[in-house]
Amino acid sequence: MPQPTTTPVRTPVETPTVEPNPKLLPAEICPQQKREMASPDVSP
Amino acid sequence: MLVRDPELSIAGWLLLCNARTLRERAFARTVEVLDHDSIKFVHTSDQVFQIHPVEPALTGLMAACSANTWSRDRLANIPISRAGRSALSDPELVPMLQDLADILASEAGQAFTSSYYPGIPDVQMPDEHIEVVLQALQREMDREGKSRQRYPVEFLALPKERQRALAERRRWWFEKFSITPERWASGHWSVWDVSEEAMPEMVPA
Repeated sequence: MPQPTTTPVRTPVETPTVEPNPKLLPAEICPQQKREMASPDVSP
Repeated sequence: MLVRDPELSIAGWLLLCNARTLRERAFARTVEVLDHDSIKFVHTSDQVFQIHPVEPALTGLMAACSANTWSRDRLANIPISRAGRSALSDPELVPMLQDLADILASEAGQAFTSSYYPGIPDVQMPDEHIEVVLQALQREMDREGKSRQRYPVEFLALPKERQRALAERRRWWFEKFSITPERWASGHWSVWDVSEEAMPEMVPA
């Protein structure tokens, strides 16, 4: 009697997720741009 | 500060390293030239003020500037802003208010990242003004995001209570640097009215 053949099972591989670029935060901008972002033309 | 801010004179840089309070730091940033027995300030660099410090320290230098009527007056009337660098830029804080700019940028980031971000109970502000403030903050983030080809954070996407907290905290910090809404209308601030608190730890040295 022939031995039953086993079907190779492919282990599912987790598709690596591509992380989108994190959003730009205020801390990442340069000192001059921080002075501009402070918006001195708008009243505190 | 290991690298000198190009807007800061060498004298100002040395003084800033010895400054402990927000007021001392703001003063250090105003110093353009220290000579044998005189001083010049960044915003009035064509004027020389004779001073006679009696203590070899930053506090002694500030006391000497306060004792001279003219230098005291110049340090009590410093412009808040200057024009942008190009026609497309918006006005910016003067470099002497770099600490305020750094604190506000840190506050704006924390509105997105802190688990707890309360407002300031003493600050009253209408909703319309909050929106104006957030749109102003967004302008520079949008411009920078475009130049770096990255999406910037969106202030108007914050929960309403965080939007309010950020605008209130912005006003609170402006006031620490002597700029109340009333004083803002004059266009000038005073070194002598800046808070004597230390630089907050949330801002990287």
